[in-house]
Amino acid sequence: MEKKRKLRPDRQWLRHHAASLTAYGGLIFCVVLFTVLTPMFGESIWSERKLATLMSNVIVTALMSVGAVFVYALGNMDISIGRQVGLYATLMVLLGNSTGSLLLPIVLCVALSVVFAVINGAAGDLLKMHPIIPSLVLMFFLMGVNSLIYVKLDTRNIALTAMPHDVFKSPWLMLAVLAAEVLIVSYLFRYTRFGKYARAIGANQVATRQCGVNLIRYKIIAYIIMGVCVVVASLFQMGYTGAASDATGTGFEMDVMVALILGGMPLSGGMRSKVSCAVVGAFTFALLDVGLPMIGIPTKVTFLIKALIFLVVIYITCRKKDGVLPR
Amino acid sequence: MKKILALLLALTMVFALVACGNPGAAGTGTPNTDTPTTGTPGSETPERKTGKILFCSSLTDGPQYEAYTTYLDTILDELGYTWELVIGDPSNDPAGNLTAVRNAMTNNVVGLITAQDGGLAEIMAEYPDMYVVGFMTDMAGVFGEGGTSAACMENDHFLGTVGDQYISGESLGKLYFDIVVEQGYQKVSTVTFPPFAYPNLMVADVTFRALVAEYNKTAAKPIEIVGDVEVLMFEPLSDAYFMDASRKDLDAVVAPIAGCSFVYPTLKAAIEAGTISADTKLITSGFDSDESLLADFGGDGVIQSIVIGGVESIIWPVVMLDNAVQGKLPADYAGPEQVDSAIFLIDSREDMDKVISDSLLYTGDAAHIAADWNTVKTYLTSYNENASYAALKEYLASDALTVDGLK
Repeated sequence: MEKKRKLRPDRQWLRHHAASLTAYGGLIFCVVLFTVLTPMFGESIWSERKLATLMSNVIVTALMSVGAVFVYALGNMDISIGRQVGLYATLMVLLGNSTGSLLLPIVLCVALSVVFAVINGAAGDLLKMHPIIPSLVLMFFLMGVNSLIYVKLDTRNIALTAMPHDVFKSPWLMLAVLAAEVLIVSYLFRYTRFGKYARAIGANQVATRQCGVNLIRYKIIAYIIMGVCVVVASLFQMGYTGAASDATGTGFEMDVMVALILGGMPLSGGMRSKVSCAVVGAFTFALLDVGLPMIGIPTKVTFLIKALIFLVVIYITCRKKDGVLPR
Repeated sequence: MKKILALLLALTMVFALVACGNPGAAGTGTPNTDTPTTGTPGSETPERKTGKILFCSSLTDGPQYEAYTTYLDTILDELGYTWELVIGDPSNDPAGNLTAVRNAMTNNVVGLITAQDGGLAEIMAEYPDMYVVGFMTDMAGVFGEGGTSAACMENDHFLGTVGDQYISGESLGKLYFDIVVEQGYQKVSTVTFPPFAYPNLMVADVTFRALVAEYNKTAAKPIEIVGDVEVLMFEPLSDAYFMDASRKDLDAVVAPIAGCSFVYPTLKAAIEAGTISADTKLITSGFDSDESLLADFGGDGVIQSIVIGGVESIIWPVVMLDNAVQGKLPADYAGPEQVDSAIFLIDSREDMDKVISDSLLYTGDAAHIAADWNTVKTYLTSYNENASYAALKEYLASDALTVDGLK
């Protein structure tokens, strides 16, 4: 019988951490690249204005992605995130204008996010279908609800006029909220059974069930944690312009997916899932968005460059020879 | 091997980035000052401020986009500006547009020409020194009272907006009514986009119906409008539309929307399938350079009229921006307003042939620019001290930028 070749410890470590190294390396590479190149083109990426732009670019995706780590750790994904953001932002503007406060809309949005979490978390197991299907149904449902709201309002954009929203533009507030969310979610993910079970389900659902874990319960909890993070993200999305539209949130589910993959998140979930993937990926993506135009890259070309970088990351982090995505 | 390949790819990317970068676009902290080679006829060469102009558009291809690109390349180069495309949010979401502008912002940007109105008030609040002009937008509901960008009208750096065709829905409805009467159609139906997105199109439909009702009071051959207006939610007209027996013998479908994409394929298929009369025609908006579609225009073809905003109406934002950047807005300019674009009405085969051979819209060739550099200079206060706002408005409303004005 052929003896399995044992790797040297350093090579084992490298193989084990390839995804993380690539993700962190990519972020560091972008930081160094733009730090060196942007001053040659007139304005440093470290200027106050560009840092504020970077923060506002990163905040919504990062807040959503950090929460989504719980769901991705299960080996699931939620493609209704974007439409949830659209609905929450719309409700915040409408109820904010009518009540003069954001408290009621926030409470309502959190309650809605729990309902959506129950649907997304439980429907897959109960109806014996792939978990992406309920989120697909929910996405279309929310799309319809949002459309009806704007048809009824007879407009495409609505603005928050009853109160100032400038506070949500503060990069320091963004940073503080993101840091707080990362700390809370990291704690839940690493040190509580919610996180441990989420990773265990992603690693081996059958074994986890055999251990007596109530899968549906912990899946719903994972979706609730993500849902609350999506509400927080919606608050900043709405506060960014003090407005919402029938298109708010469109494509955000892809932003989350890209951020997580760039951050080295295994799409199959499991024990290698980390909250840091969300932050690293979101910052890398935002750095490219802000930095590439600063060095004179035309907007059309930036899409191509981002696609190439995405391809390289996928190529490096894909551990299965015939696979196409990180796992 | 994998790592080497990845490293090579990364290095290639770095070199590509540096190679693609345009040092000429570098900012200097303040707008550049240089001296153009061309001065005012009969006067001294003026010293001019320049910089970069952003063009925020949801279009990234197609004949209209190519025409804008050619025009901006040609005229802004003469004026000493650089320009850059900003791809606005495809659905005009305020946050999406603000992010797009923020990402493209460099410190030599002096102006923004925007075909996207969502979030414009926020963009202007964030960049208070930047001059902004709207272009080819249905902004009546946005800049009007209670509109989400109404605050722009109070901003002294907002220089007004050129609508896509008529700002007023009433004028648009009248235009389509005139076409129907002129063509002698007696049985028509109407198709439009939802009023929450395009409020002026619904006003146009209401106006069209009112004019027809008025016309029918005295007409020997009254016009019948079949059914209520069909509202398309940004999806092509359904095949079921022509299965309704009342639409089997329509003379024309009146669709003041992007009908070449949203109505024509369904109409053509219904004619070919024999579901409706082979003589049913289409009166619509939007221009497509697809050869088979152009061949089906005029004469016995299905499409009889196309109305679009004249692409060279872009002279307006260019002139307004340059006058503002030079600090020389015309003395008779009293503040921002919404103005109609030039109306580019193609309603015969001869017109279409002329468009194909002589227009910037179809050819994308700078040699076919009607509002050329010499014309532009006429309206620039830094080149012509007698330049006036009224003259610019008059030029936009004249035949110069219409099909009749094609040389």
